[in-house]
Amino acid sequence: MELSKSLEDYLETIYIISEKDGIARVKDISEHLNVSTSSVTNAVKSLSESKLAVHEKYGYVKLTDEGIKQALSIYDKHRIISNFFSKFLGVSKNIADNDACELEHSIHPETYQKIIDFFSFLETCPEDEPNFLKNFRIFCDKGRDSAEKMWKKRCSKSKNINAVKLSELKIGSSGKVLKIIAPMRIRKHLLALGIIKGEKIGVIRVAPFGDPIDYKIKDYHLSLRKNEAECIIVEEIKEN
Amino acid sequence: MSQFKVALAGNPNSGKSTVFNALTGSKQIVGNWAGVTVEKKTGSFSVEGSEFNVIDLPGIYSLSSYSIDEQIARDFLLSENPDIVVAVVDASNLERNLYFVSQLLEMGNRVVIALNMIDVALERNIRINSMMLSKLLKLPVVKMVANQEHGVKKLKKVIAESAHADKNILRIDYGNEVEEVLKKLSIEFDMNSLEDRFYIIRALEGDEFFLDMFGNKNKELLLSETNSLSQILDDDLDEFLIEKRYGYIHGLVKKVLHRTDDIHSKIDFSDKIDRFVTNRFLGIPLFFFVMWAVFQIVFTVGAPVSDIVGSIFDGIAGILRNFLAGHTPELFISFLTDGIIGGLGAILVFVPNIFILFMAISILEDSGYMARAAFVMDKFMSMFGLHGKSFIPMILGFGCSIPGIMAARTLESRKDRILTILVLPLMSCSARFPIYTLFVGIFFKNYRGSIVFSLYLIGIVLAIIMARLFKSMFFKDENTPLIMELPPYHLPNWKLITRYSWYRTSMFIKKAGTVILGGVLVIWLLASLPAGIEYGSENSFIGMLGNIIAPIFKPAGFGFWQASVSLLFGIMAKEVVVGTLGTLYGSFPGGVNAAIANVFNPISAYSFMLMSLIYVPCIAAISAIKQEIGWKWALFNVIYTLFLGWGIAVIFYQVAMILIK
Repeated sequence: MELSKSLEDYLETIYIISEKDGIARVKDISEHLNVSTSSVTNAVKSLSESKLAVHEKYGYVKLTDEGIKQALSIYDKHRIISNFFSKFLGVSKNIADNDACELEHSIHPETYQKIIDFFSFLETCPEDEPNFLKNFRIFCDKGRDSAEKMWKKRCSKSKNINAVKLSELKIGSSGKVLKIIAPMRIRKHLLALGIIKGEKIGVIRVAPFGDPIDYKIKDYHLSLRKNEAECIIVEEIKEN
Repeated sequence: MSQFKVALAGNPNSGKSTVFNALTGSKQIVGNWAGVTVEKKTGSFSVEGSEFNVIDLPGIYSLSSYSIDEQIARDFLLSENPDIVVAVVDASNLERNLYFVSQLLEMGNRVVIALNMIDVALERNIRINSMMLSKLLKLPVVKMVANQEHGVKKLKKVIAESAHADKNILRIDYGNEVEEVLKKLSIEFDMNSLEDRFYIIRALEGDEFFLDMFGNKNKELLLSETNSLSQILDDDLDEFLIEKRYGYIHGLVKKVLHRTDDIHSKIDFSDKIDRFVTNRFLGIPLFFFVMWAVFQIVFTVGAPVSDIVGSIFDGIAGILRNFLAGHTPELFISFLTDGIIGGLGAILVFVPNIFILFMAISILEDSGYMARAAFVMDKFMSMFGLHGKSFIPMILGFGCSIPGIMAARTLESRKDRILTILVLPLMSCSARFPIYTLFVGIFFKNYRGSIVFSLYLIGIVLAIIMARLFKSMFFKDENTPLIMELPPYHLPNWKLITRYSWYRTSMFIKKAGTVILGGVLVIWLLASLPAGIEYGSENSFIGMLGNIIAPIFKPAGFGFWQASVSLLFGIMAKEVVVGTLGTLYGSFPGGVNAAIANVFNPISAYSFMLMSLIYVPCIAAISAIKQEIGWKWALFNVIYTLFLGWGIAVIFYQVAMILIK
C-alpha cells in the first residue's frame, strides 16, 4: 500500500523515537516533527487503519511488525542517500540530511538500487578507496588546474622512472613516446600526426622567446607549445 | 562526353594546390564550401574524350571530425561519392602522408596516389620504389614534381584509366581482440561489407559523427564495447587503433623506402636556413626586416608604374575635357571627367602596388616562411591572447581583411577565431594604402616607406593591445594549443603565385568597378546638387552633411567637411576615402594634391591617416565578420574601432601640437 509523504515521515519518526526511548508518545512525535498533537493523533489514526501502528493508552504509539518493516526501509533510504551525498560528493552533513529527507520519498527505485550497487561495489573493490574518488577529492579541494598538474606528475613518475615530459628534454636530445595525457581533441590530433607509443621524437630548436619548440618526428618538423609538449610523456634516449 | 568527379585530397604542405593547378590550368573557379567560408576550388580537365571535374579538398591530416576542414573532406567523400580520389603524397614525408591515404582506402574510395616532391625526397637521400608501393596497395602510383609539371600528363592518363577500375578497399588487421568484437558487431547490426567495417571501426574509435549514425541504442552498445576493449587491451582503444594503422603503414614504408645515406645524414637545406630564420637572437629582427622589406619593395617597384597609370588617367580626362568643351553642358563634362574618370583613376593607380603586395604575401606563404613567422612570433602573440597561427590571417589582412577573416578558419578554437577577427581590421589593408600614398606623397616625400611602415606598425601594436584587452574581457581562462608543421622551404611556384595574386588583384579591380565607382558616383551627385551650386562646395548636399560631422574631428586636426565626408563614405570601401577627396577637391586649382597641401599640415595629415587606419572596417569586411562570428561581434567591432580611431587621432594631434610649440 502507498503511504503519503507525511505518513512516511510519521512512520519514520515513530520508529526513530521508539528505537531511542523504547517507546514513542504522541507528545514526543509532535515535538520531533514540529506539528500539533492533534495532527499526530490524526496521522496515527490513519496508520492504525493501515495496520502499521497501534494507538495505545496514555498517548503511547507502537508500530506493528509490518510498520517496523516499512519504517526501516524508509529509514535505510534516508541513511544511504544522506551518506552518498556527504561521503562521496562532499556535501555537508546537515544539507545531506535535509536533501535525504526530501529524496527518500520520491527517489525512483532504479536510482536507489544503483546507489546501493555503488556502495556494494565500493565494499568489494580491491582498493580501499578507488583512485577516482581520491582524485575527485583533490579536484574539488585544489581546483582543476593544480589537480591536472599533480596527475601529470604522478603519471610520469608511476609509469616509468625514466619518464619525463617532452618539454623537459634539452635541445639535441631525443625521446621515445610513452603516453599522451591531453584533452581529447589535442590527443587525437597529436596521434594522427604520428606521435604514437614508441615513436622517436627529437628536440631541434627553441623559438626566440623560449616557446614554442621545434621537434622532429618521422620525417618532418612539428612545433608545439610547452603546454602541449608537457602532455607528451617520453622516455629519454641516452645517446652513446 | 562522359563526366567524372575527381577529389583531390592530402596533407597540408603536400603540394596539393600545385597539383590542382597543374591539372586544371586556368579552368578554375574559387568559391566557398556550403555554409562555411573555407575556400573551395574547383576546376576541370579533359583527356581521352572524358571530362574530369576536380574538387580540391582542404588539406588535412586525418579523416576524423575534429576540425571544420576534416568535416568538409569527410562529408564530401561520404555524400558526394567522387569517382576517383587523387591522394597527393609528399614523398619526403612518406609515413605520415600514407597514414592519411590508409584512411581513404579503408573508407572505400577509388584512390590514385600522386607521389609528389620526388626531387625533395632525392635531395634527402630518400628513394621510393613506386612500383612496389603500387603493387602492395593495389592502386596506381604516379611520381611527380608538380611545381615543375613533371608527371602531370601521366597523372591525367592514370586518372582516366582508373575511372572504371574496381574499388579497392584496404583491410587492416587490428588484432584478435578487436577483430572479434568487429565480427560480433557486424552480425549484430547486419553490416557485412568492408565499408560497413570502416563505419564500425570509426564509431568504436569514439568519433561522434559515426557514432550518431548508429542510433541511440546501438550507440550505447558501441560505447560499452569501446570501454571493455580498452580494458582488455589496457590502452585507450582509439590510441590502439591509430597505432595499429601506423604500424601497418610503417611496415609498408619499410618495404618501399630506401635511405641511401643513413649514417652520415647531412643537415638538409631547410635546416640550414632555419638556423638563421628561427634563431633565438636573429629570428625576430629578421622577421621585422622581412616585413619592412616587403613594404619597401611594394613602394619602390610599384611607384613608377602607379605614376604611369595615374598620368594615363589624367591624360584621358584632359583629352575628354578638351574634346567635349563648348558643345556639352559643363555638368556632364564634370560628371565624366571628375566623377567617373577621376574616381576610377584615383583607385586604379594602386593596382600595381596591390598586385606586388599580394605577390609578396603569397611568396612568403608558398616558400614556407609564413609558418616560421608563426613559430617565431607565437610566444609573443600568446602573451597577448592570440595564437601563432593568428599571424597568418593577420598578415593576409595586410592585403585585404576579408581573406584574412576567412583564413581565421585555420584556427581551431572559437576563442582564437573571435579574437583574431576582432583585431584583424586593425591590420592595414591594401585599400587603406591609397590614402597613405596620397598623403605621404604630399607631406613626407623623403620618408615615404618609413612613414607608411610606421602606420602598419601602429596597426599591429593596437591589434595586439586590443587582443590582450578583449581576451581579459571575454575569454579569461581559455588557452588553446599550438600544433603546427614547419614544412621544408622550397622555391615558390611562380605560376601559382602570379595566378593567385592576379586573382586577388582582379577582385580589387572588380570592387573598384562596382562598389567604389558607385560610391564615387553617389558622392559626385551629392556634391553637384542642389542644382545651381558650385560643384563640391559647402552649399552642396555633401557639404551640408560634412559640416554636421566636421566639428567632431576638429580636435583631431581635420575638422573640415571634405575630410569628414570622405571618412563617412570610406565605410563603403576604404578606397573611397581617396576617391571622395579626389572628387571633392577635383575642381580646386592645382587638383587634389594642391588642395590637400593647402588644408592639411603634416601633423593633421598623420592624424587623418591614423583615423583612416583604425576607424570602422568597410562594409564588405563587416559582413564577412558577421558571417564568421555573428552580428553581435560585428557590431562590437564597428563600435570599438570607431571610438579607438577617434581617440588615437585626437591624442596624437593634441600631443604633437603641444610638442611642436
